Amino acid sequence: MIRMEFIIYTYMAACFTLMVFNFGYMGRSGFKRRGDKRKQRNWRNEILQQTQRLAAGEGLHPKHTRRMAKKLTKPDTLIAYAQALEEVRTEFPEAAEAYIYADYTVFQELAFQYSHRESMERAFYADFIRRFPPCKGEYKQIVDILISYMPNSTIHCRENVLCALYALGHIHAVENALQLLNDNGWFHHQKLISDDLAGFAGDKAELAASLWENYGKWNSYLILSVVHFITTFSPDYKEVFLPILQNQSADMELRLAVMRYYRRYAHEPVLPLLLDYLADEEGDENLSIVAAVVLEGYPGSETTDALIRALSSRNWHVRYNASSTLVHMKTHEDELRKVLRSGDRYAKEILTYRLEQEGGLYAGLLLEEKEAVPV
Amino acid sequence: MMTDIVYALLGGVSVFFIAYLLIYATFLFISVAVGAFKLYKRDRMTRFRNELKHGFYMPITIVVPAYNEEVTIVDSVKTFLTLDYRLFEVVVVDDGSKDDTAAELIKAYNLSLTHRPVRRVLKCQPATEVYEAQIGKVKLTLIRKVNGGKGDALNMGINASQYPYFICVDADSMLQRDSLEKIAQPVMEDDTVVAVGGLIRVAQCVTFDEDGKVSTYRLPKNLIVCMQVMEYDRSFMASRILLDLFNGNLIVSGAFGLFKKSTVIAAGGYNPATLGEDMDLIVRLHVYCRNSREKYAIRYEPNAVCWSQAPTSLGDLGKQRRRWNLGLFQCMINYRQLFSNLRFGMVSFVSYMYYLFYELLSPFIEVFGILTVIISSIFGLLNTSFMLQFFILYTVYGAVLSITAFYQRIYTQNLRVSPSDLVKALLMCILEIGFFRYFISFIRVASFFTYKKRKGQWGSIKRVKHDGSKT
Repeated sequence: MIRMEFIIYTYMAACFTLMVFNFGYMGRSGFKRRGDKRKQRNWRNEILQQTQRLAAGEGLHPKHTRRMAKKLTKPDTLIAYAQALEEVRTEFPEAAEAYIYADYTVFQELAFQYSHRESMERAFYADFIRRFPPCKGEYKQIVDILISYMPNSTIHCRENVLCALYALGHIHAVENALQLLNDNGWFHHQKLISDDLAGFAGDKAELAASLWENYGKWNSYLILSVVHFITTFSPDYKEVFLPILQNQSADMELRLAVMRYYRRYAHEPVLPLLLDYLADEEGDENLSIVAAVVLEGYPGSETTDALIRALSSRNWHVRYNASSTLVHMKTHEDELRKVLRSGDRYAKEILTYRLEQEGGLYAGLLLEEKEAVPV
Repeated sequence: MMTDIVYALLGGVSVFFIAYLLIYATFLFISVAVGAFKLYKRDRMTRFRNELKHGFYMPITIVVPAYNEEVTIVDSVKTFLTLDYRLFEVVVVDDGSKDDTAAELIKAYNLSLTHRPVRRVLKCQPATEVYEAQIGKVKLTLIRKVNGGKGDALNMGINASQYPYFICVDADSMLQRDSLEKIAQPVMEDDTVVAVGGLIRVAQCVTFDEDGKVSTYRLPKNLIVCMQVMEYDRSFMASRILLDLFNGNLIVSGAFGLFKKSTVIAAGGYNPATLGEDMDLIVRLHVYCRNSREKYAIRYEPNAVCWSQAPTSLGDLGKQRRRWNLGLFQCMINYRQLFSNLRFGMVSFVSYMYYLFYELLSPFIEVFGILTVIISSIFGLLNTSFMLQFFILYTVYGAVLSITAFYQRIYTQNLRVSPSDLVKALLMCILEIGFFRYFISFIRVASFFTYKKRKGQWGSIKRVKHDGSKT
């Protein structure tokens, strides 16, 4: 029978090994930091020499490209190289850009080398391409290699690949990558997709049109990301999105995203729908809550009346948003006074708070109401 | 005949103890090994930019329950207001403090009294006053309310929060500048995440510079605090990372955790009637999500760091541990449905069992062990040299585990530690395992004897200013 002490001694020995590893790792990290600085200096000098050659109308020196192809397959060396390149770019942006473009063949070869590595290193190389894209808007082989990083990968790798593709600025490459996400059902937070799409280096309007063609084909969270992306820059989808808002069976999150689109880009035909949603106490409360905010972009007596009625909604968020919108719209004091004296405690409470927040314009009204309170 | 029975009993007891200690030693070993591997991997991931770095994650409300925190509240809130995060608000809930907690905050941040209505989604004691101010890009709210306990104050904070995720932070804690970003990242990685626990470290070890960044790290002079540093490093590195592997953490420390508000509200919020409201909530989230067949994850994020004050005297430490132990006891009793329940899988068979046998019952088992030693000695069955050897072996083993965890922390967080601190850490590990844990066991046993009388009491702990000056 195995004695207990033996097991504990074994565990202890393993812990000692871990500790030795920790010490070794700490020592190696310190040593490596110094080594990295030296490497970075050397790469910087080399890159500067190559930029001078390019400025003189010569190509990159074959020795330099051979050295890159050999050395940069090590991620640690790639870190030093990237730092050196970043430094040169800060000092000589145009020369550095020309150098990066001239490096395309090596970068593509490295992309291929890294495609056989573990996901963490693939992610790192994709991030490198994001920072130093060697081409823009053209369909080149590097795009396909990067997309091939996505299967059997982590979310970090996929995120870095997507960001690299946005930086390379090719529409169909982005579409293909998103298609892969959709087909394989890989989770990728829709916020990451929509926010990162905003960094697309090519023609955003064309990208948006191309992505929107997948409405009805892609799953709702991807389409939601596309709508958020479109909302950041394009007023051209007012008519396109309208049927979604009218469609009762459309995905609720999508309808809400479309409503927010109309907050940014007002479209008069939407007003009756918004008023209906605000007044509808039986339907989905989220529609009323968002409608109360979106109506800020649709001023008018009809809107004001609807918002004042919404102050008596049984939903707290509807009341809160309606009061905020009324205040932001700088609604006339007389209209608000009616609410404050209506006897609806909840409406009065929320409106008073919002008026306090706004201060300035409504200070007189608040003072008047304070004095009117019976002792 | 009598001797035979005693022999048989002692034989059975020794088998039990061997099994008990072997399982514990194995659990600790696996925990530290897994923790070391995971942290090493994390370190590489950061180096190779495998992070979801993003300009804007999701808006977060920081809820700070405060009760008699006049000494630390202003400095703590200062670190919250300087966090590197795009959109967040801070809601401080003064739970009927008897000191000047609210007055200090109102003065320091020029807060104005408002008539803000607070929506009571979760049941809690009523608010008496609400103050607000816009500090740069951050909205700071102070709610004064009738005393109802920490869970009650947190419920009020949730009610007042504007954003879909909230963070609970103790009023005596300080957050590292990147803490919010780090604790939000697991939610971006997986949208089924309903809670994320951060790493709690001892605030007395660090000083912050003007920008709220950690400038120096030193082991404190106070031995009691020092031993807690070792204890925190071991427990936060080891068991939490291991339990995280199978979504089995039963605690997200009340000092620093992120929660999805809608799920917490659906699960009923914090339980104000327990002393361990943080553990109670996490176990309730497990129960709620499993019962409603909702896909969920409760994560632990060791890169999200919160520096929290550790008690500086044995008296205060005793009060804190008494509260923790009774909280654990209440939780184990309230959620006894988790005991050997297949529906809860590993949460039941590993996490719950671990907390039951190696946290809650361990002090009793230790006392039982001491009694066995005495009885064995009376009957002349005690092998003293073996017993001493075994005690020393176990102490050294525990110390090795602690020191491994300590060094792991140092390199994964890029902290610089002086050689004298490295030696001190080694000594503290031995002291902690050899003596400190027996003191803690004594406190834990004693807490049960006063349970009926003090089950609702928090006990006040003396606070010191974050710069170390006493007040």
